[in-house]
Amino acid sequence: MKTDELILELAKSAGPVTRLAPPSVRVWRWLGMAATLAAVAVIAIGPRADLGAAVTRPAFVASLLALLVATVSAAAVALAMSVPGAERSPRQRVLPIAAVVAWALTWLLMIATSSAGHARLIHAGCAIEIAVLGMVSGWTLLTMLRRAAPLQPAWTAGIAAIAAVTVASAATQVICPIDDPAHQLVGHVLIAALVGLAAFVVGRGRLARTWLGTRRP
Amino acid sequence: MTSEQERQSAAWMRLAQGGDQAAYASLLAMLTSVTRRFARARVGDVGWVDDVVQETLLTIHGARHTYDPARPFAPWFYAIASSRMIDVLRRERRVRSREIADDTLPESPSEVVSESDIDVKAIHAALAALPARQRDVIEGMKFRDESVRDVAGRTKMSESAVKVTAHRGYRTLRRLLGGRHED
Repeated sequence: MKTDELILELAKSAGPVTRLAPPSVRVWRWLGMAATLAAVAVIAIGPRADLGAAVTRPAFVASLLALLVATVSAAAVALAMSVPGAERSPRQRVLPIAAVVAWALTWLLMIATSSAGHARLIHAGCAIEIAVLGMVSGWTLLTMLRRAAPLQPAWTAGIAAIAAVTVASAATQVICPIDDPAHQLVGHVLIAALVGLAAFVVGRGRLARTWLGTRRP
Repeated sequence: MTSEQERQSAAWMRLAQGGDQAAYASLLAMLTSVTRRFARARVGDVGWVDDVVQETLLTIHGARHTYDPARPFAPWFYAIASSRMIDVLRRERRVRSREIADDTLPESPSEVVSESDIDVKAIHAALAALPARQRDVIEGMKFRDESVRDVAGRTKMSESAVKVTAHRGYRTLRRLLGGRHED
């Protein structure tokens, strides 16, 4: 097909479109949904009994802060990446990745400095919470990304996966009463990494199918 | 893209988002020459520059709802053009590496085959090199005698999308099989 014919074909099929809201608005929409989902899960299952005491412990606070920074920054970067030219700099992708690394390092450091035995590495409830909350929030984010135009499916899916699993992990941390750093590392960080990997693979595939030469008028 | 072109592009795109097909055709025509210059400045006057142009136009079509008139047009457009140029460049490299690998295959006299066999093999190899959606559309229309409507129904694409996908597939096939490239 010649380019002139393609232009005519595209123009002929071009109806009015609904403009996508700016990435900043879409970030708040997703964060609102994700925060609501996390709050519902925490209220439904019940927060840990000693939450008041837990928030005075540096490791708990550092871990939760790292997760929240990762969630907000990853959502912002993923949604900006889904609009051509909206990402200010690829260097912004470093922040969510660094926050996730800080989250893992927090618990690694606690293991290194803790002398206590490690009783329970994996708890099914934590794994289910991370998986379910991660899947629901991740699917919502993926749907929003597919409505835009993510030109780099792998990067966008990877960063979106970070947003999904970190909000799920933050909610799980507020619920989970097990303070053992080994449990946090294996039962939370490792599970989140596995869920995130699955979310990345699924998300990359769906975004690539949508945007690498298959979406047409 | 000059500042005048950017101003004009933004105005046309605003109209196109509202459904003005004439403004949209004017925009795409102007972006064709801008994209061609952009690609030639980076990769030279290679045969697949028109692929970059067409891929860019198709992506602009699918992404036109993401353009925010409150923001400058050029970063939005160049992000798409750069991305499509990289995709086409990667595809060309992949195709070229397959062609080189194929050149080394025939070794023994027992593998000598007739002219028609070579064609069939080449066609199958070229089909295998196509993106999955293009291969699916072409196989449906040419091997399974499906109509455009049948393929559109099966793949959940619009009929014009099926035609565009098929045309792009044929063009790639022609290039892979050594035919002349259109446009």
